[in-house]
Amino acid sequence: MMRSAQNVVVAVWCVVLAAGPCAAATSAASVQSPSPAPVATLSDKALSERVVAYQIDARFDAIKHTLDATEVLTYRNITGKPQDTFPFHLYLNAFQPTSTFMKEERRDRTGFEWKDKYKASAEVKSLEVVGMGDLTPQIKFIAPDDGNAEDRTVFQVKLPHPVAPNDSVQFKIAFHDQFGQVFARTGYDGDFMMGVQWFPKVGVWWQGAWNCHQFHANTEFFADFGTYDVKLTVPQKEVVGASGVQLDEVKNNDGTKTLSFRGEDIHDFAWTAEPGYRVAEGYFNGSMGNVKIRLLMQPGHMSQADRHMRIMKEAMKRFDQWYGPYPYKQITVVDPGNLRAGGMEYPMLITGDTTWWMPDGLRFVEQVVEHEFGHQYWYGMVATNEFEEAWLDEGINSYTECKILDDIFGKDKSGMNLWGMTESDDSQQRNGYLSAADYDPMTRFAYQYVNGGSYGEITYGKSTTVLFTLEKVIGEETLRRAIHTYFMKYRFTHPTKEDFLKTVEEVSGQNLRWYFDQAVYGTQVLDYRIYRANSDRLDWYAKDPPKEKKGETMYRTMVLVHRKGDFIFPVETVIKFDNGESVRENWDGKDRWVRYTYDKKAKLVSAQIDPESVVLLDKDLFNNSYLAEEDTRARWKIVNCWTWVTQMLSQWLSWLA
Amino acid sequence: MSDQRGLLNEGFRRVWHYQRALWFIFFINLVLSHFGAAPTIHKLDWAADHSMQSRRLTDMFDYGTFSALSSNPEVNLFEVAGVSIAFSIVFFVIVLFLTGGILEAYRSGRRLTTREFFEACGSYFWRWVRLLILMGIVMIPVLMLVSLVWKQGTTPMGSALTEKTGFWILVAGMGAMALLLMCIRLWFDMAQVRAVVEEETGMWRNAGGAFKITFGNFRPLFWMYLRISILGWLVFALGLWIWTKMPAKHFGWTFLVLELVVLAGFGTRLWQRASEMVWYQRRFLAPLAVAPVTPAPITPVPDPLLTIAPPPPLSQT
Repeated sequence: MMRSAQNVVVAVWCVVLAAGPCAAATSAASVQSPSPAPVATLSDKALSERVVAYQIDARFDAIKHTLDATEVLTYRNITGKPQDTFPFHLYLNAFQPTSTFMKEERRDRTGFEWKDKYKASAEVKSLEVVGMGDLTPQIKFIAPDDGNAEDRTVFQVKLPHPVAPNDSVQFKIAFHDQFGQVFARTGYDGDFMMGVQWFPKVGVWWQGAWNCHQFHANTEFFADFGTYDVKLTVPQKEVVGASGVQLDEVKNNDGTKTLSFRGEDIHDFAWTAEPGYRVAEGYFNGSMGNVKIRLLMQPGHMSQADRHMRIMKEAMKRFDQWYGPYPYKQITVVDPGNLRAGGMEYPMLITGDTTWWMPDGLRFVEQVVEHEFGHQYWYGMVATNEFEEAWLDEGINSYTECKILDDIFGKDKSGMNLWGMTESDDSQQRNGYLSAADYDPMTRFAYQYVNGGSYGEITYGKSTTVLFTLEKVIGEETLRRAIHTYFMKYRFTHPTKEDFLKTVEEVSGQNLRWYFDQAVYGTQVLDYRIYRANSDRLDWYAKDPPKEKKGETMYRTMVLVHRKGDFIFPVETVIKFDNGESVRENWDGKDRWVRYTYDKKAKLVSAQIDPESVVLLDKDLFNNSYLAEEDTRARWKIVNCWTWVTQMLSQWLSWLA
Repeated sequence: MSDQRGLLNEGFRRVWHYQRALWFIFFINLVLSHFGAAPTIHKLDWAADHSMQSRRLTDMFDYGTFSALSSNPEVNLFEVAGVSIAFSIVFFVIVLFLTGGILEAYRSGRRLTTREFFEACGSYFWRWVRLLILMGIVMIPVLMLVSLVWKQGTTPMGSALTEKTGFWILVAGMGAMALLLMCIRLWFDMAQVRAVVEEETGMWRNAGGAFKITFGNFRPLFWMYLRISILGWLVFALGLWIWTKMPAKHFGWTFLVLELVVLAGFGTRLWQRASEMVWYQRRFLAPLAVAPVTPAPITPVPDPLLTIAPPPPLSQT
């Protein structure tokens, strides 16, 4: 998911661009019928272990925003142990005032008020285990994370007898959903409907135990791979998008239609429905064949459809070349009707986030769409535990997002190129990290961060910055190979942080524990600075020294480099002299400071740490260099702007006089 | 409406003739705003002047670099925003003070001596304060409406279904609010004009009289006010457009363009004031009551505001 802070940008730009250009009625490359033609399903052989097989038959009431469904879940016990207790997620119950999710929202978001329209629920009407009978009375809500007895986002059921290793068990569940107005990701808004986290979903047996966390304000999801056969009955006017591919559509006599979808080797199933969606389609020809890109755009956003399509193709191309193939036959990109449902990833379906007036120079559309597509790799296929190791998907994904947008738009313009102002995507991530640098390590469980801000800035911003800085240590190309190796090795599994870190070490051939211990596991802050740099005449003590003469007068130049932070990192310093000479020094960075001294017939021009500006983890890039002769241009530029803004403020105020 | 012919021309002529008022206000604004910005100089000098990272702000304008610099705890640029706001308030008080002198100059149609000018400033100042309080009272419900329109517009903008509706509600609503605020401003502009021309001292009574005049002659008055406002907005937009097109490293020139925008803003506002005065005089005074705008010989006095004509007796209040 993208950080919600970016939605603030939307609000701000709404105001700034109040007189902005109206949306042009440019249509996408191809706007086609709302009913997509069936596409072949995935492949002959399974790509994952397919622990689960869900068959869901659901009927959605678009008036009441309710859904009644039956779910048949076949679970393969490949845990190696007999299992008699199964936990299930009921995520929709998070949208209730006493849930852990809402308590955390209230704790972390100033001014957050509960509204009844947010209320949603998922109720299990019956639960039967084939061969063991009706176990509905056995359902017991649990709160493994915080013990909140009022939280009903996880329940468990105990079977009368265990399921033997390598056996399967089949659950038949009838459930009823009441959706609320979209608060986070799921729900309705007018005719718009986003059906996510909507069905009882079994936990994951992981590292020798069931992993089934409650739904928290900061957490996302974790589930086993498998197959999804979903029949969705909706009013005939609805345009529907979903995970998987659509196999069939049957019109019913009661004004509804039933759509059949199948998803293979995925670990969640999401759908959306809205009568007003405009459909645009395109194809990407990757190394595993054609992939259909299906855009579901809001009618008023068609001017943005081309941008969506373009960035999808560009991103897919680079992922295919750099990291690995996209093996599915389709990806659906949804332009949601509600910003709170935007910027989210589900297998084979992502939501973007835009407005009708978004200028090209703001890369917000590209950032969101690329980011969510990237999650098809980091979350979708490399299915890490988002509850416990959120940085593994959000961090790696934000890093690859930056690399791809840098490649497309240029390094300095991948975040913004508007009105003479530029900003890189990397810089946006780094600035996020700077605002919450030392509260939490990246390895903290998502729901244990000090607050939502720290979770976002560390999980996205710091992780990205850590990987950019890692480029300095092992090289950009090596890191790319490491990520490629990690993807190819761990796709369709649930790797851990150590799997990733060890892969980087193996590919680079380096022991990087010194770096990971500080950057990944620690909260140390990296800040080296040029504390002092100057040139002084060697004959400074002489009573009547000869006049200074360039190239003849001897100077002692001293450069003092200081480790201001507690993060230890090798420091490269370049010292330049006015005779054109340049000296490059390397320091292990372990002591608190190092002093370099030179006696030369030349004066200091500049001293600079990290001359290639790649150690983005360094908290203050301004103190990384020292110019012997001051350059006041930047200061005056800012002061001039500040003066003008004050002048305008004064002028507007004086209108009242 | 034949007496309105050439109204804007005459208003412009008076602004031009008494342009030292414009330059004076502009100069005060520039100086005070520079004082408002002064703390940033000291905050930035040690952080930016010797750093090569600053080049990302001069050779280009990298917003990420600026953002990192401004939020650096050792710089914390925006913590001095209060100083700028304080100087803006000082400027507001100064303009309130100068308004009496400026209107007196526009009334007389000639250059005032420094003494006349500041006597007029002082003699009207507290009347303007009272009018300001009255205007504040009138504006309270309008500002509440602005808040309501903002909420009505921005709430639907959160959803794509109603996004455009919300946007147009916001644009239309804020446009209507702006017009309403301009009407109120026009009303109190006329109250100030009336107070100067009629030597009115009772501001409640004066506001009432101005209300009748303003809304009894609303079309010509508002049309006059609006035309000049539109010109001001166009100059503002043009200035910003040029600013965005200029190379980032030529920040001296960009500053000059921005200063012209400020100058044009003050110029158009004074033009409105002068035109309102001309309108009032043409409407309510005998045609010959307006003194001819003929420059008198200049007495060489060093004070920049001091001018030529012998000080006529100024009505005391």
